[in-house]
Amino acid sequence: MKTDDLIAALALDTPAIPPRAIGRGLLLWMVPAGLIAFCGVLFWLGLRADLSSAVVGPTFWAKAAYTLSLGLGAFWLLDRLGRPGASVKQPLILLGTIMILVAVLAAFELIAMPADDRMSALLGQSWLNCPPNIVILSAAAAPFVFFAARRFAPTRPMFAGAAAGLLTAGLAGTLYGLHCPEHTAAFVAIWYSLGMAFSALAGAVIGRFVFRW
Amino acid sequence: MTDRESHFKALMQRGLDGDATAWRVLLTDLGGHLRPFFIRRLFNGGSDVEDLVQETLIAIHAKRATWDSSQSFTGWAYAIARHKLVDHLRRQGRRPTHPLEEASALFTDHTVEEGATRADLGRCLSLLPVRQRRLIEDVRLKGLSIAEAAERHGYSVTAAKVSLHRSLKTLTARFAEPVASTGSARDED
Repeated sequence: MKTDDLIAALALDTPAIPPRAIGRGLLLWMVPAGLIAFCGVLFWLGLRADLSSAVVGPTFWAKAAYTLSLGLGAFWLLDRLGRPGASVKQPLILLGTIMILVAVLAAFELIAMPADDRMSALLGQSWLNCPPNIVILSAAAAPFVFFAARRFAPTRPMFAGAAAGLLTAGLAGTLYGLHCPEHTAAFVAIWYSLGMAFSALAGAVIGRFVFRW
Repeated sequence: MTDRESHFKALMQRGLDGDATAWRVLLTDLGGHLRPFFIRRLFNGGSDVEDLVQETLIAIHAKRATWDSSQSFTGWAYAIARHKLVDHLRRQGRRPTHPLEEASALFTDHTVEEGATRADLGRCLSLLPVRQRRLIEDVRLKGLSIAEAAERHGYSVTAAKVSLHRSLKTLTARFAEPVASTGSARDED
């Protein structure tokens, strides 16, 4: 096919595209993704027994703030990675800052408590279950997120896959807070982060195959 | 440079608003920049170039929603062209053998890139009569076909070929090193 003919053919198909169309589409697809993860928490894991009293306390929201802000940072990162030539510095700085902040908070919390309590603060009741549960919830929500993100044009597919994985895990981790009764910053900083990191890693592998264009 | 950027940016914005004419102009103009960009980086000068131009134009079209008006158009288009080039080289089982330059490389004029080399080259070519010089510049440096260059400078195609041959002979005679004395040392590097 001659290039001029190709151009003529392409120019026949130019519907108007509103600004930030892909980002908004991705946000929209986060709704079914969140519903699936929420159903997983509701029917498979079950809500935490003390949910009604937990929602009035600060730790429940602190946990949600951590996972949600990581998810938002990942959304920003994915949005940048998906635009050829765009800089990813700012979202990376944001993500790094959030993680450092929580790590410092966890360290202070551990230092402040009696030495005998530290181990149980670190491991809680569910340290073995937390990372796999977050990964499984992420896996259930991931198809929607990756499907919507395919409209982007990432020149680094694995990096973008990791961002999409972290975004999914941010959503799944936040909803997992409805089940998980753990309340220490140290627990969240380690086990939630680990679960989200695994999801990001899996996302990188998926991205390698899914984000081809 | 900034003229080009604002030219493309305006076309892009109109294209995204659904203006088919602007979009067509943008793709055509861009194709004109992509062709020499790929020719310079493929070394085989084969039919791959046109394939790559088309693939890139299709990607530009299909992924036009990923451009943000706060972003540089040249940077965006360059990143896509580079992605397609790397993809192409990878499929061929080769890696690019030289670093890929920054965004401006896509939109530089189609001549030898290094300033120093260009200056040296200018000095060498200045030995030739003006008409011969123009011809060799058009064919060997700007990448026109012999027929195009001949027409531009009022030669017949045959005469142009003869002139090119003579020019190269003159330059070789003047600059080529005696093979016997330095040949072996040259072969090392």
